Amino acid sequence: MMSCRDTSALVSRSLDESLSWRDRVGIRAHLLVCSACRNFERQVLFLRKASARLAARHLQDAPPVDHPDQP
Amino acid sequence: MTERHQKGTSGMLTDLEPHREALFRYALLQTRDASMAEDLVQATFLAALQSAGGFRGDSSPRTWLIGILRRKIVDQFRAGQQAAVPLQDATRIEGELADTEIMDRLFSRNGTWEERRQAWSDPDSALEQEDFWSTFEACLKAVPGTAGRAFVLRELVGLEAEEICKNLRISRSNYWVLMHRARLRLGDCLDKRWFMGERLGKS
Repeated sequence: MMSCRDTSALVSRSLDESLSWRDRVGIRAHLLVCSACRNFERQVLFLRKASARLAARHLQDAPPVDHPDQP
Repeated sequence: MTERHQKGTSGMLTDLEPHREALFRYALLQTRDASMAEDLVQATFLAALQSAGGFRGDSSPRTWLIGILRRKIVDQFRAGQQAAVPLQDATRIEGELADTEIMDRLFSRNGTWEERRQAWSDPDSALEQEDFWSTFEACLKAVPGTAGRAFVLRELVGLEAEEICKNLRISRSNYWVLMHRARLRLGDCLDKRWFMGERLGKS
């Protein structure tokens, strides 16, 4: 069984590159029994989402467009 | 410049000036280098002056300017793939790689989490809170060195891993190590400075 240290490193790497079949199976087997690493996996996905959102926020500095309520 | 631009260059510069700080902040966040960020803002102003006709008013001037700046940042890091790290920093990168502090802090000797990674409750709702973003930016800035740079170039600027490796003069395997440490640090910081408080607040 892979350690949490190795699993988390592969989870991180899988965000940028497709892993070998062997590594994928190794991760899945570990995640099945390890909630801490499952939490880590969710968190790195969230970090990616939040980072993209942060970059986009600067683009949206303009005041929001008013929704035309009038007919 | 045509007669349409009656204000002249100096008048237009005055129009651009109020945007300088926001542009600088954006450039600094993405390049993590103050002098590079300043140069990029300057280049953005220059490009804006040269193509004021390109501003059609269907976005705010700020959005238009940031759009120009964003392209300049990407070009900067793509241009010949040479730019960002001076050669003498190679030893610093070696030193950074050798420093396993974050791994030793988060993992025990046998490779299990030193402190079990706890779930973050409803992280998506954090994205809607202003306070969260200042915490996120602070945590991002706190990710040191080449790891921080690599993370920002990948996740904010949106460069590919290959471009980042060339730019920062690191091998692919060093890139994995640094990116992973950056994610561990950022996650750890957010956990302590945001999500832990959420957990305690709700219990």
